[in-house]
Amino acid sequence: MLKIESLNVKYGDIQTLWDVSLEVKPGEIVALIGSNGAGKSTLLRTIAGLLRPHSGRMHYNGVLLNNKSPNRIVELGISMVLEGRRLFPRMTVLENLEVGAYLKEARVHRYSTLDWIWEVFPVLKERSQQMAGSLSGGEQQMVAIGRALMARNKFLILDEMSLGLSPLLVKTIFKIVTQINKAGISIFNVEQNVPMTLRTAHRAYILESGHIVGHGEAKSLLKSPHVKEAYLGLS
Amino acid sequence: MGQTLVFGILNGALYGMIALGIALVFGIMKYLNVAHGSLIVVGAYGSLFLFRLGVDPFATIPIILVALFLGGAVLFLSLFNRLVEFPEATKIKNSLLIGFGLMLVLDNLATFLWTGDERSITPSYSGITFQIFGLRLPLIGLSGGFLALLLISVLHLFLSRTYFGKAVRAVSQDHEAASLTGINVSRTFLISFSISVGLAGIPSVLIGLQSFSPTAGLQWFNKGIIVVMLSGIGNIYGVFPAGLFLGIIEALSVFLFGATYREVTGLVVFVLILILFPKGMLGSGAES
Repeated sequence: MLKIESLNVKYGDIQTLWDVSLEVKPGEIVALIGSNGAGKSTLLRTIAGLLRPHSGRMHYNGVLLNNKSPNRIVELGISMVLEGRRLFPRMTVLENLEVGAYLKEARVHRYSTLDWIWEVFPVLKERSQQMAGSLSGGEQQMVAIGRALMARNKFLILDEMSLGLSPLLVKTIFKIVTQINKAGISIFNVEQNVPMTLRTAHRAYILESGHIVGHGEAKSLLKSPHVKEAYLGLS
Repeated sequence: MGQTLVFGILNGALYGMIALGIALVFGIMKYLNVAHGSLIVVGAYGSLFLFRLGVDPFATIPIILVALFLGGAVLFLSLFNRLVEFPEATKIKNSLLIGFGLMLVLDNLATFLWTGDERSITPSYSGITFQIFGLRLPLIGLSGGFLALLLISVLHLFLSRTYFGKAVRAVSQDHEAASLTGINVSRTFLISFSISVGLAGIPSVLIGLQSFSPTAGLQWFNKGIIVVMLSGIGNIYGVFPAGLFLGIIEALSVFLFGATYREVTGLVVFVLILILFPKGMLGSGAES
């Protein structure tokens, strides 16, 4: 579905991504793990169209993504939840979700999508008329994911969802990720929380200082010595 | 005293409408369009032109609305479009420069085309006033107040009930996140800017019915920006009450100190309010 080949991205003169290649096949949950500053957000912003790559190609279902505007990329089938939730604070939960269904196809089906969202996130149904800015961190994260799902796309990119959430909430969110995936949505999950991420993903890539330094089945990576030492604090 | 209050309120409605256009553009895309006043004056000239052809001034409003909308679109695409990508601080500064340049061009063009004379649209019903409770309510002023209320209501319905209105609000709160929901942010900016300039068609004609000259633009912008700051940057719904507040303060000062001190009192009160309420009287205040 998503295929990235030899992507190089620069911020001005500073190169942040070096020759990054990866792919996500239909139905998979693929994780990207790496510490702060590894370049994870840069990669996601480039895929979403917020940044232009210096070289390399990105394809989604065969369609070239390079140099397309962010809203065009959403139209092509990729939804993304930005780091830090980025809700519209002075709009209600319901309005945030409605804006998520802005595109024509999504808008037509928005009521049935909403029904599904209330199923996945029952807490939000009670809060539907509340201002998004007044919700707790975990609730905001759910609205952010819900808003992305309203577009009814088959591909979801998640940027650091577990950031700032309590361990219980993190567990809930990861359960929801699995639930969404079972509903037929492929997921590209970018995270710092390595253990939970590798337990829910099928495959994973490791990003360090802008380079892909490893990839494989998530379960095997959990056991790899490098991952254990660098990301799990074990030796 | 009641009479001066009436005039204060009607003036305030006008200030509020001017401020609305400035507030919308600033709230949505963080541009400070200094030329807003001059665009209003250009609209007044347009209305005068149509009046001389025999069109009733109030009937020129829809025409001027559309003309300013289209003009705004052209200006946005040619001048303000490039600024979209920049960070906020740069945007504000650059839009000030561009707006100021545009204002100079418009003012001088108007002076060149139509001379520096003060003009006024004078339909046959200019002098009509109604007498209620011993107060004289001028027909034109009342119509202006009514149009102001209409404008606010329509705008509110648009922003809260329509999908595009929600998109506009989303873009003004977080345009990056908005683009990720499929909203075409540049097109939203273009349409919002054009609507804001277009809506200035109403104060445009009302000012035409008072009096205007080619360089009056900056004075009207000043009134507008004071009202925007009184209401608090980022607060669109506060613009109207703030406009009325300024109008009433000015009227009171005329009553108490005489007409000479009208502008000064308004400015003094403005500075005092900002000292007491740095974020504006009603504002959420994004930044100072």
